[in-house]
Amino acid sequence: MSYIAVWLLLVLLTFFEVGLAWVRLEPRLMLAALLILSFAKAALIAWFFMHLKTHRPKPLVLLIPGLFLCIALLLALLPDGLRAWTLR
Amino acid sequence: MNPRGLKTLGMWLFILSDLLTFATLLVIYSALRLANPGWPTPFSLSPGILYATVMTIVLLASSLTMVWAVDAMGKDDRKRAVQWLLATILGGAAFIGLHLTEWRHLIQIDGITPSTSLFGSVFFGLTGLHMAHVAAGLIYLAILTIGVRRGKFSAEDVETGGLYWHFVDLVWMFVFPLVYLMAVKV
Repeated sequence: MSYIAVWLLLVLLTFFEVGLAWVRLEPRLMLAALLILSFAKAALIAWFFMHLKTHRPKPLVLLIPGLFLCIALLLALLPDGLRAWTLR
Repeated sequence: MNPRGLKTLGMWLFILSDLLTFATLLVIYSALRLANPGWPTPFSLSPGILYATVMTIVLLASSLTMVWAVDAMGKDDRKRAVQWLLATILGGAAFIGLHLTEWRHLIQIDGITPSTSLFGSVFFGLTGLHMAHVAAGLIYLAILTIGVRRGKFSAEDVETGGLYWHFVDLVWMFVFPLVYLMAVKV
């Protein structure tokens, strides 16, 4: 995929997100939809613009331990995160 | 491993750690947003959201020119690389200019400051941290541009700078929907 095509797709997804705001979804549904779209856009940027696609595997493998630490941290903070849902 | 990949690897490690900072802020923001039914919604579709959409497209465009700069350096075309780097800087500067105008509007007309409400604190905290990253990126790109013009820096140096710039763009892909689109005036 050419860089321009990736960019156009990113712009298109942005407009789609704005369209979701236009129809005013219920907040939880809206958050879920926006997160899915955001991760799709982030993946497009990382895969094509940041050259993850053609990146030699070695440096990426070294990032895997960091990823596990991220996940561990997220899990460690999850109880507090869930508590925040009911915070007033 | 091949020492040529070390600079980009270092940047990837930095990006991963920086991603945690933003992820934490965004998760807190989203949780607070859902936990507060009376969340302020200061952004009307026009001009508020329209304005932020333009900012998003400007930042995305600067990512596109950055990719072309990296591409040009890969082909050893320094002149073209400098041109695309300058275009990227222009895009980043435009983003900051638009963002500051928006901030001023929020503070002066809507009366939202970091100390007026929970929304104000997280909004300025998040967007401020992101804007600081863009500003740092502009300095980074300026140094790269001057160096490339003088015949210094390798293609990998420009690619490393590109990684940082795309990362700043990537973070905005979360800030824009979660902060702006979740606070649209009903």
